[in-house]
Amino acid sequence: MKNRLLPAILLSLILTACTSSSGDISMFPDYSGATVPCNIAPLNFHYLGAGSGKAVTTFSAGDRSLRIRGREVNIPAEEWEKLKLADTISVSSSLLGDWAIYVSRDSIDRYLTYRLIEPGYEVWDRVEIRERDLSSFEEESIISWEDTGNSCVNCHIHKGRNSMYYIRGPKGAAVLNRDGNITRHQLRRDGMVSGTVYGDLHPDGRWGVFSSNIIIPGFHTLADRRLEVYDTESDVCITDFDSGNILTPGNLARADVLETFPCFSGDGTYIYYCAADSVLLPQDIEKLKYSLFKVSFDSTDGSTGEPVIVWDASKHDASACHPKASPNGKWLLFTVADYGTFPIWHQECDLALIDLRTGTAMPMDAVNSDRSDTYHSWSSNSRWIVFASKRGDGQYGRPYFCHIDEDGNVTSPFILPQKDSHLYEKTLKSYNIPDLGIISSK
Amino acid sequence: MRVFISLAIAALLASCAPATSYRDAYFRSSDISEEQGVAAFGEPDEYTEWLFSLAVEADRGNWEKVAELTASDRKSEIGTYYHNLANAMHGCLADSLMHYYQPFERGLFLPMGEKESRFVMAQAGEVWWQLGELTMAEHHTILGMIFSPSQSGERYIRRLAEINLAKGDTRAAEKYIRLLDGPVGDYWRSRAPLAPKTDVLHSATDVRTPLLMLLEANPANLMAYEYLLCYDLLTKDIAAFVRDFVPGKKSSRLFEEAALIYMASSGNTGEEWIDHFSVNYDTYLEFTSFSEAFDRGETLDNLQKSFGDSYWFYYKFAQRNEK
Repeated sequence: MKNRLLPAILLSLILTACTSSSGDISMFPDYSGATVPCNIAPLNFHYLGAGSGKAVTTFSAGDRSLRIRGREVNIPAEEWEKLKLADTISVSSSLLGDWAIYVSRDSIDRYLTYRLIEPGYEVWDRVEIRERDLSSFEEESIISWEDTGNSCVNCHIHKGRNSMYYIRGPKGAAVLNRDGNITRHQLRRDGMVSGTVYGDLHPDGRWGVFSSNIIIPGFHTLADRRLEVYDTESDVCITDFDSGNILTPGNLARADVLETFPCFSGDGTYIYYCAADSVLLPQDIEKLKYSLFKVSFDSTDGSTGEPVIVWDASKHDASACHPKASPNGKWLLFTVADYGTFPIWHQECDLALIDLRTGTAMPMDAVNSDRSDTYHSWSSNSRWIVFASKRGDGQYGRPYFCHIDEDGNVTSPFILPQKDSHLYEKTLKSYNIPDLGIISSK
Repeated sequence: MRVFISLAIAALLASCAPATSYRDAYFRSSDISEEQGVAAFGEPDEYTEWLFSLAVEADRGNWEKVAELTASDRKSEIGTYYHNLANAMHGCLADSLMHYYQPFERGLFLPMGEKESRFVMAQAGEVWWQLGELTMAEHHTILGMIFSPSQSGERYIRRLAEINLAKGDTRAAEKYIRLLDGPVGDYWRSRAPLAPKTDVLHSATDVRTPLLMLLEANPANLMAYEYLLCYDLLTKDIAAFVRDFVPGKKSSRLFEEAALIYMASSGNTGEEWIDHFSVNYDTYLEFTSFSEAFDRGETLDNLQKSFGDSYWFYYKFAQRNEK
């Protein structure tokens, strides 16, 4: 079919090339009005639409000016460094008018890691975790299928000068990087429902808090819901990387409760986590709603206090996932979906922000989209978040950044810039679990 | 301008040039280089050329050609899968089932997992697409693409575009359409009305649930009905067959044969059951012959000669090859 119809398509292209057409002009990515960190790579973009090849784009900042002609707007790195010295970069487009790019003096952590993976699961092939230098377009593999015998690698996390990821499978381990010292750990003990899955590192580097989960993938017969993942069992545990001990407090491992997605507070004195009463699964999946809890944590001996509810699922008739506390201790960022514990395919899933000092929910309308916005990470200075959003095509997660000021005001997100601004159109992989780090994980 | 037109004409001619083999056509549609192809599938040979012919002709919608290519039973899961699918597209899955090698349900729905070949993984979504189950079709298409040597390919991207058009997800469809050289065509319009309307969560290995949901949305989806009953029978689940059977919906000698097994084992032999399953008298007589032969200890060879194409023979003697 393709061969018979292709000639007709080419013929139509020949004919239209000889005619002029105004058409709709747009740009991608759209960086107009974006607030960006002072150390971000150039915001390359391109125009779309008939006649866009005649575009003239002028960047002005202070007494500096840069003019780029044509559809592809690729900003030379040296020029970009000079433009970013100003707080505001004015952009004038012959096709789309004028806009501004705001340069925040708040820098962002230099490294972003993510797993490049197709939006499907069950079995995998050629999975890798890659690291991008946000100040340039440099990207390299941290760990790939070539290193692991095609094992699954996932759940990479950063905390200060420490980081961790998992190599799954029979020869797998949790690979911990404590300030340059690499160690492998088997994080499973008798009585745990599984090896550790989701987790976070304590600021002091000695402790880790993890969940262990029996994870079941499922498929919706309604086509627009696609995939679902739920836990039939899950508990929270605490690992002492110095001694190798794994602590399983009873109030974080109740038989009739699903505890998961733990994280430490910025100062390490609390553990936040999600918990839901068990329901019949998969039949009652829509009744599975997770609340947010916290327990105190004593880093001298790993002991924990009693759970205190932070966000009540029953009051919101929704389910919380992925709590992440800002390093400065002020904010808790998490995702909210209608139900469940795997919001990545929930179109309604949004990011939510709580002021931990007052318990107040902060407005996030400027950040959220009509598709899933999930898997967020804080910068070490608590001024930037990155998250994976399926806005756009609704299929593939892309990293988006937004700024949060000291009062919790958030800016509209902008997409990770690429040297080739057409990359997102071409790639058939999602940027899974984008995570910021101040040092390279390599 | 003249240069542009000349280049365009050259492209036209190149695009119309037929692939020299099915292997070439498959590699081209899957964006596989020769080097990748040899690494994944080995050097060209008659068997792999046959495998590629099935995938290519199915992708083109040439089901009569697929039936022709699978006419000779090679006792392979993938061959049976395409043979069954071609028959289903012609509305004769049940009637043809017992005349061909059937590796239990694996010839209806190809198994997916670490032990399966890349080629098998790449073909498993076709049956779901034809049935109208868009979630499973999309999932299997993405897996097929993941396990393709190039992790890409026009055949997968086009199918993903079609699936998302059928779902009404135009944003996702546009993502894929922009990557294609040519248009998608209209076949997806016939899949859209078949999709389930009720949401049920099921595992990847649960094929009954999506089939039942397809039928709930569209009782006239006879292909889904045939697949459901054939799945019940190939897995020897007579109780499920009886539950799923709808009197008068579709007649088949296969269903009569299965019904007689139920009637004999349950003792439900009255006239009402004969009518319920529309059992013909000739079928009943032959079942009697089979039962008598079996009871008197007739040899397996003799039973196979006389009744090898019957469901009774399958039910009694088919065993799973766990390897």
